[in-house]
Amino acid sequence: MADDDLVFKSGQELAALIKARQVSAVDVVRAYLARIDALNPKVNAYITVTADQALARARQADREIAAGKYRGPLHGLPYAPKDILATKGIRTTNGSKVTADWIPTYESTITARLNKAGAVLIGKLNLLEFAMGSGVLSGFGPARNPWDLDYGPGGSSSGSGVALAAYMTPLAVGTDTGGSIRVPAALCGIVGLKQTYGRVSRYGVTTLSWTLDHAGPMTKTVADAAMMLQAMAGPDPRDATAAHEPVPDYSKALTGDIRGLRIGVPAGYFFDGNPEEAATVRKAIEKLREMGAKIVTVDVPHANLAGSAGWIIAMAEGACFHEQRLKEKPELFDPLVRERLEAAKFYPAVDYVKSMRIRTLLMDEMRQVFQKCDVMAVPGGGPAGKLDSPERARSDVKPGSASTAFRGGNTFIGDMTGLPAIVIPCGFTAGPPVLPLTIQFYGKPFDETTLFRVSHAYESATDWHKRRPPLSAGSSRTSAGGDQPIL
Amino acid sequence: MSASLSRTTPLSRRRLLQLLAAAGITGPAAVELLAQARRPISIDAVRQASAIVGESFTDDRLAVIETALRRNLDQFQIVRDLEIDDLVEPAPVFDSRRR
Repeated sequence: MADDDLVFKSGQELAALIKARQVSAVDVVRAYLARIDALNPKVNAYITVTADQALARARQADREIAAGKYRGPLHGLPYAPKDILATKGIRTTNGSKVTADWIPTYESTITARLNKAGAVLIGKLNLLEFAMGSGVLSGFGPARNPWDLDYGPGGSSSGSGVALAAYMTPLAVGTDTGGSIRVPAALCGIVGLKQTYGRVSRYGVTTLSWTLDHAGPMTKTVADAAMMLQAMAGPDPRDATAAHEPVPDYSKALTGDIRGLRIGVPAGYFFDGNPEEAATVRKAIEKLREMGAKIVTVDVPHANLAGSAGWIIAMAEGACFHEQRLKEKPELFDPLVRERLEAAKFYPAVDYVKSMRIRTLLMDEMRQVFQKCDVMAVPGGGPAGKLDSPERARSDVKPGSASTAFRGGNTFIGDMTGLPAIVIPCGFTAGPPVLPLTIQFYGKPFDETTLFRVSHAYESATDWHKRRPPLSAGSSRTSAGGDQPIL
Repeated sequence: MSASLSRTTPLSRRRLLQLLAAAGITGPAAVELLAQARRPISIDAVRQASAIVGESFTDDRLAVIETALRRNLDQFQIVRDLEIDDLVEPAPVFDSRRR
């Protein structure tokens, strides 16, 4: 089977071929390695590529499958985690010059579980430094949006979004503290799941904020996200916040049937962003109504506080985590990270605690929302914007702009409340450039099943997720329109 | 007029917002007016505060921090302006059974 035929398949499709031994894990890994070679110089998705180790793991997978020792749907499938997850013996940079040469002596629980399930790690993905940098001035330079290389992919899981959109991996892992899985998912037009806080262990994930950090799957399809979460989820004695909630069989959610499902749509704040995206999301909601869902109006009165209060919490906790590093090597930090962390040293404790009380307020308001509906639908937060210049990227205070409170978009409330949320494609801008637009669904605590149910149903009824960015390996810019296959 | 009412009583920010709203000035316009009236942070103020947090910064770093903090004040103010019921406790809940 040709490399192109392989890399454009979903993880689930590849898994079926590998299980049936119609393709080998080695062939699949080789196809992705070739694609990384061709495209990474343009999009800078990967910081480290572990070609030799990946091929060795793939050969092992093929031997095990041939011997009848099939581990499950992830067996032999390539994956790449954000380079903020510790991988034992493999460089883990956190996207920063500060830890550019760090070789962990331990493995994150997430990668350990994916490896145990037979998945094949093919490299470490680019990110905004320490999950909060500028991207532009972060340690390994910016990842670029495959839909237009002059545009940013969002962050902080920038490389994860890019690698998936450019078909450089079928499966990826990101982290999300204020939106860092869902924003790149929105801007790159892929699937990003921030699961319930505690559903997946944070052991081995470099901290930005202990109480806001989540790590979750990023994929091309909802079924692939469900497949990944199945392996990643569950309690962990090394993470006291990892929940003991039973892990259901997420594949049972993928029925395509949403008749009777109640979808809450909030007024105001959530739809105050980009008007083109808001209109596109409303069309998607109407499609869901046609498919049998019931649409109800809901309200989150203090949603506008999530960003400001969340910022205080994230920066205060981040400043604490990086305290020693910032004293020892301040000059190695991305200037934006350094600015944020040094300013956070002056945040009053009372403001931090009040922000924690606002979390409780928001959790109570969302609990009331979910008395009226099963999921809440909002815009994903696109489309992408142009990459900042180095001058603009070095500070949150942009030249010529008024000082305004950090809005937090439609994502921060998910981290503040710990509720699960998934982003999936639902359209494109008129352009030029033509950029992805997405819808985001919020769910009840530990009810990722219903999120998979509604998002899979919508995805099955549409083909937004099948479109490919017109990125040619032969030029430095995107081709002028039309859905041409990538090299 | 009693002696207590004859004294000028500083208005709280919350009260100022209420008065502006009564005058028909709300939303970003009101916030901007109050931002302009707010006592500015100075590099010197940040330098003195550094003693409290146990740090020392160069003048260049103090300038960066001061600019960032002035922006952050808008965030703090939105949080500080919220009147919140005494019964609302901070999350997360402390659990002595830590596993």
